[in-house]
Amino acid sequence: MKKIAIWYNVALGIFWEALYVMVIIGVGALFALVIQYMR
Amino acid sequence: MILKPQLNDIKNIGYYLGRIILCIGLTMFLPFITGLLLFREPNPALDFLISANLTIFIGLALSWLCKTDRDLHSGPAMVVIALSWLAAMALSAVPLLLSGHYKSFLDACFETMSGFTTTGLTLVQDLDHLSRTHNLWRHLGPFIGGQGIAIIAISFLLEGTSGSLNLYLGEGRDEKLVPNVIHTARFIWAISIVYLILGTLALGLVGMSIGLKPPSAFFHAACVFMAGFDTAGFAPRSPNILYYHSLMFEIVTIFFMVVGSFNFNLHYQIWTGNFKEIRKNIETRTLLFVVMIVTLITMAGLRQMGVYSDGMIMFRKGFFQLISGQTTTGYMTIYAQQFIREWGDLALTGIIIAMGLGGCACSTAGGIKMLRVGIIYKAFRQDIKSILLSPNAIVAHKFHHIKTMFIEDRQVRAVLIVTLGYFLLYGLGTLVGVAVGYPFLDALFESTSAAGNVGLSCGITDTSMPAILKVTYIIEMWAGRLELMSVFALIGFLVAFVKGR
Repeated sequence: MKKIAIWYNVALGIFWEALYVMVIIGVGALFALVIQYMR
Repeated sequence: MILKPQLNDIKNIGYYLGRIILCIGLTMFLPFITGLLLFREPNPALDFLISANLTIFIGLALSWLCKTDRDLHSGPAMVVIALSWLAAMALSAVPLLLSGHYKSFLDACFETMSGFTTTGLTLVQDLDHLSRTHNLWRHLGPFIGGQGIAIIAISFLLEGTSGSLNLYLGEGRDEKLVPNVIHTARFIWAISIVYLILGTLALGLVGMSIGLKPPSAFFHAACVFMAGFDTAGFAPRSPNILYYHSLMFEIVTIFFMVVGSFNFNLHYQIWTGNFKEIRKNIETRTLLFVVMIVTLITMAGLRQMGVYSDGMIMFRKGFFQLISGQTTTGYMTIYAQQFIREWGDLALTGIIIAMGLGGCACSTAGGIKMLRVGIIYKAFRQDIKSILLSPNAIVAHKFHHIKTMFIEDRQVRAVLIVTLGYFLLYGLGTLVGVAVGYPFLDALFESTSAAGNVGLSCGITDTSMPAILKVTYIIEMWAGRLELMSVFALIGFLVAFVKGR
C-alpha cells in the first residue's frame, strides 16, 4: 500500500513537471505566432 | 602565515581521490560488457578493458598508498573534488583516444571534460562512424558527471562519514534532499533512473515512428536522453538533433532538457507530494520570467534578420536553440555556422544571456543559476525600496525555495561572489578567443557556452582551433561545473604547498 502511494506521488509529480514544461513551450509557441502575425 | 599541508593531509586527499578513481574505473566495465555482448564490437570493447584496468590500478594504488582512517574536512574535500574531475577527464580520455577518432590526447581530454561537465562541445572526428561502444561512453560521461562524480563514490564506495558530506558539497551542491547524504545521493540516482526509463521509452517510440529500426531507435533514445536530461547536448550523429527532422522528437527533447535543468530538491519535493512547490519556488518562477524575456529578445532579433519564414520554423529553430541554451544543454537543430551567418547580433545576444544565466541550482545544468538570479533580483528590489521609503523603515524581502526565507546580506554576498566569478570566467575565455583572432561576439558566445556548460557552438570549437583555446575551454568547463569554489580551494592548496611554512 505504501509503495502504491509512493508511485502515485511520483506519477503526479511527473505530471506537474510536464505541465510546467507545457507552459514554457506555450510561451515559445505564442511568441513565435505573434512574430508571424506581425509580419 | 600560510600553513604548509602535512603528509597526513596529502594522504587524506590521496585516499579519497583513489576511491573516486576506482569508481570511474568500475563504470568503464559498462561499455565493455555492453560492447562485447550487446553491440558485438570486440575491438572497441577491448579499449575499455585496457582503460578500466589502468584506472582501477591507479585508484587502488592511491587508496592503498594513502590509506587513512581520518575523516575528510571541507577544504581538503574541495581539493579532492577538483583533482578527481581532472583525473576523470584524463583517464576517461584513454578509451576515446584508442578509438582513433581523436586527433590528439588533448582533443580526447576536451571531449571527456565536456561530457563530464555536461557541456557538450565536441572535437570528435567522423562521429557517424564511431563505434556504438565508444558512443555509449561519450553519453555515459554526462550521465555520471551530471549527477556528480563524487555522488557515485558516495552512493557505493564511501561509508557514511562527514567526508562524504564534504565531497557532496564540494561538487557545487549545497542542498541535501534528505538529512543523510548517502540517501540524498541515492535519491538523485533514483530520479535519474526513473527518467532514464521514461525518456528512453518515449524517445525510442518517437524514433521508431520516424523510421528508425527498434535497436537503433532505442540506442539513439538512450544516448539522446542521457545527454538531454543531463543537459550535455551530445548526440550519436553529427547533425545533432537535426538528424531526426521530427517536431515530436524536438518537443520530447525540450521536455527532458527543461526537466533536467530542475533542482533535484524540487524533484524531491514534487515527487513526495508537495506539488505546490513548482508554482511557488523562486527558481521555477525566475526561469519562466527569464525564458519570456530571452525569447522576446531572440525572436525580435530573428524577425529583424528575416531568417525564418513562419511561426512554426521560428519555434523549431529559434525557440529550440533558446531552450537548449537556457537549460545549458546545447542540442542544436541548426548548423553551428548559421548562428554567425544568419542569426544577427540581437538574436545571438538573447542566446548568450540565456546561456550565461543557465538552469536551476543543484541540478545538472550550468551557468549562474536561477536561484542566484532570483535572489539578486529580490535584493535589488529590497535596496530600491529602502531608498524610496523613510530611513527608519525596515524593509524585509522573502523568497520561497523549499521553505520561505528572508533575504540576508550574507546570502546576497555569497551569491554575488559566485556570479562575479562566472562573469570573470566568461570574460577570460572571450579574451583568449579574441587574442587568437576570433571576432568579439563569436568569442563571447563560445566562451559563455563553455563556462556555462552549455555546448552550443558558433563554429569556433573545432579540431583546428589553437591548443591554448582548447585548454582555456577545458578550464572554463571544469571551473564552471564546480562553481569555482573547489578550483579556488585547489589553487589555495597549491599556494600553501609552495609558500606555506
